[in-house]
Amino acid sequence: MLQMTIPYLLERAARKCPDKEAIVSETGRLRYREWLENSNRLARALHAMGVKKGDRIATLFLNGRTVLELYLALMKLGAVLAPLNVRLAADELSYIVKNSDANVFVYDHQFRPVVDKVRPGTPRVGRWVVSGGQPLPTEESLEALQEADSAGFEWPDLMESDAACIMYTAGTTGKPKGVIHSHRSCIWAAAAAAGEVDLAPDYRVALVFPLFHVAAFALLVTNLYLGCSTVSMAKFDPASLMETVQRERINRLVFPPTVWNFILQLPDLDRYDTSSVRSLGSGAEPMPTHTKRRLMEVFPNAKLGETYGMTETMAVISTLKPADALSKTDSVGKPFHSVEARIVDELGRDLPAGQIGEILVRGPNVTSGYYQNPVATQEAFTDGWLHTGDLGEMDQDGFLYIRDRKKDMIISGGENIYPREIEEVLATHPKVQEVAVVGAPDPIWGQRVHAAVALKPGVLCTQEEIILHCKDKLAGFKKPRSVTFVAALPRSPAGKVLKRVLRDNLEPDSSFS
Amino acid sequence: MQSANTMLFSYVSEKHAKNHGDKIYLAEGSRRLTFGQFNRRANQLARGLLARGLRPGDRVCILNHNAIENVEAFFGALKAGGVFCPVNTRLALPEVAAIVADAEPALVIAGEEYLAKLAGVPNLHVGRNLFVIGGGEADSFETILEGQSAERIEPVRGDDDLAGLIYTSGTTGRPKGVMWTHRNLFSSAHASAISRRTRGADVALVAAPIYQAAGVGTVLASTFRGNTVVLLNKFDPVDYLATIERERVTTAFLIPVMLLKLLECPQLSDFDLSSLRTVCYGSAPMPITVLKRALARFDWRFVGACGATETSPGYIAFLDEHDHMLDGSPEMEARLRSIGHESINAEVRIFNDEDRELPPGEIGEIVIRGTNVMAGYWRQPELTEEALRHGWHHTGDVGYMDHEGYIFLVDRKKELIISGGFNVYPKEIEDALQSHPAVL
Repeated sequence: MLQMTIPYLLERAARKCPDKEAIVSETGRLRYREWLENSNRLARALHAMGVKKGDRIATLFLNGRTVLELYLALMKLGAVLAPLNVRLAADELSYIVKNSDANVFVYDHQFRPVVDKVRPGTPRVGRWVVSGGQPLPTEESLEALQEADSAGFEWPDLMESDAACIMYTAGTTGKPKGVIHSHRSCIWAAAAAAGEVDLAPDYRVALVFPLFHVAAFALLVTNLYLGCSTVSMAKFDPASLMETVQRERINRLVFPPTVWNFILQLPDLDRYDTSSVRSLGSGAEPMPTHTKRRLMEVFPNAKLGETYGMTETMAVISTLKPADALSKTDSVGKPFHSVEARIVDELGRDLPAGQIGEILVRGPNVTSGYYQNPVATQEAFTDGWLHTGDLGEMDQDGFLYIRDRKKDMIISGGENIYPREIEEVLATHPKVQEVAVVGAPDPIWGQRVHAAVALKPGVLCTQEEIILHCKDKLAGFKKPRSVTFVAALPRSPAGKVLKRVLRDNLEPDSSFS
Repeated sequence: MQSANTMLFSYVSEKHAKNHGDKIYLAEGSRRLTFGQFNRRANQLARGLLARGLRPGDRVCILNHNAIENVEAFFGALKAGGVFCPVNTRLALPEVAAIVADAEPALVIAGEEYLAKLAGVPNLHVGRNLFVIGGGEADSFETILEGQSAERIEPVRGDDDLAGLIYTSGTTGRPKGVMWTHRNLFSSAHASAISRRTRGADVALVAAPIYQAAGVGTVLASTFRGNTVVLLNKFDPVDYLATIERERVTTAFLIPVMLLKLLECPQLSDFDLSSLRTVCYGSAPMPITVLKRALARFDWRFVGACGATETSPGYIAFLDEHDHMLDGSPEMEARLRSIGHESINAEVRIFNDEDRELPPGEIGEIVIRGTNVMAGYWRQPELTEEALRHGWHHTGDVGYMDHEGYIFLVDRKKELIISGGFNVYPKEIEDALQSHPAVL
């Protein structure tokens, strides 16, 4: 039986439309034929270097031609990608590299300073491969590898159930969890999007969100599935995005609402030609109606659709179609055809329409589990359903509504931030007695990280000291933006911290108390 | 226990029951069944089948004209972990007997008027392993459901387990049962929904018999999409047109001869057909003259679908609606003769007799691989090995592919005439002769 794998999708697209522009990036343009040739050549070189099927490979890159070639090369060999978030601090990266059992680390030379900090704690990594710049004696050069094409060999047999990538998500327990996605789960997410999101093979799709995010990875696979052109951007800033939209005649753009807000705040937005844009996507959180209306003005030829998903589902659970954008305003739409969603009570019993419960999900796009974490896997997958941890309801028409995020998760600038992770870091500060982290409303980022700290008796401490403590331990976006000092954390009679009370006491401008 | 990333087709009905339980799912004559009602009955049926000894992988034969019960039997069998096996009602007694003997079903469900067709099948006992649809007797189809819980039921099956067994028509000798897995059904329904550009609100009209791949495929793809499905059990042009008007049908599957009969129906203009949006045609080659007449007469969007039983209820290729928008150019018109591009879940190539790929324009056998290709022929390993050699299903159809990936059918491989060392395909000659003005 044909095994539909991600490298197969590239081969298929290269066969169907060899001369179509496949990648547009700051460092060059590639046709589908060239993408396939380059990634196969790189794959042979990586094989000669010793990369084998099943190896986990850590990668640290911004979006661009290099990482797109690299990903396809690694997957062609059956290696498993462990894409790393470039915003993470060294300790966070080390944890993921170790947890993934990566034996090769490939990175862009601009990240060498942080990689150097990762090295001492990750002895399992035997090869450090750098792209760009001048390689050091301790590094191998990706470009040199590409030059030295090796002779042909038998490509490994890939099964669609083989792992393609491990996407790390900050777990509610604090430590990141590696979500394993097979070729099959990635491609079924792509197929779902291809079928129900406004997309077509002739589309030029902007890839702006970094590929270490599940939504961007899913977008890449969807583009391969349909044979779309991928217009990659290494960094996001609203003005250069709009220039790219105009210059490259982009047909589809996808961002979370906070990023859409940045774009809408551009002062001279109406000077850009947006007529090529036919399809707009949004996700990660519901989009306010006024934002929707404004987007429809700025992109008059475009239809706006929203999707709801998570790392565990390769970004795909439900979708709100353009036709429902203004009538089902706070809904995340209906489950994709291939996905079934249920709302259940604490005992796992189905709830009728209109009642709030936990959202359970099933579908071929769902992860098989967490890498080397049977406890978390078992917790998330009782009874053959993925327990999303999100609370929601379904209306009479089958539309899904998210009523509360995974309890206390903070979403800031489109990034999911789990308070526990930050609490663990802050708790190591010598002056801190106890700490609770919550999301505070923020006009720009949606939410910002706020810490409520109870100090040890008799000590004095400043907000700056607390924030500085996170340096090198946490990504910048996870650091608290504001700190309040309290005598004691509010707790329930059972002793649980009442985060809701903390949140309720926060004013939008209470940041510097 | 199921994994959370299963592709079991049985859960499709559960999903729609939950998402829009009060929506009409099946309409047959004056009968109506909502998704919720259907799902509850299918759950009851599944439990009833299990209570009568059905084990995972067991076949349930269905011998009946298009009716709600057939679809209930499909899903009831799947939910019980069984395999649905519809049998062609137009076959003669010995043919039915041969198929039932080959399928070895645990149970047979038959329409009352088809009981006589089962006369040649040994060891069938009404009420024990034979249940009758429409019969007034105590041991009717309904007795299987009686007293059973309508709660959700999860089959103990995997994605690659057998879900459907369909016998190909028109074969001589031993019947060939084509094995469809859950993955086949799921993937084909998904690809079909994309390629036909169906919408959730569509009302699908199915007059093709749901014992053949095209009819079953249309029902399953529409179900996957959550559409209302209107079943007709025979094709009569006037009744068909009246049904479109009455049920506000938006999409239909037609075989070419049906389309021709509609075009020639004297009452064609008497009906309000404005609800109909998309017509998918297939099952037989579409004569270009008929298609052009239809394009001129109707403002429907047309989609061509070319499949085989072996490509599950899915297809080899689709000719997109855009390819039907004639602009007067000979290129566009020539394209109407194509079966279109390979299906999104499959890959099509043209092979020579040594199974080597041929370049564009050269005629050879059409081969296909993909998630819609059958698991094989039931209990016929040699035949399976032959058809699926080198990982490709050999369709037995001869054709070529142009530089843009459009696939053109030329003929059946076995019709090949070898004359003076040259391969001659009768269809090519027939087409050439057909274009002569003196030929009717």
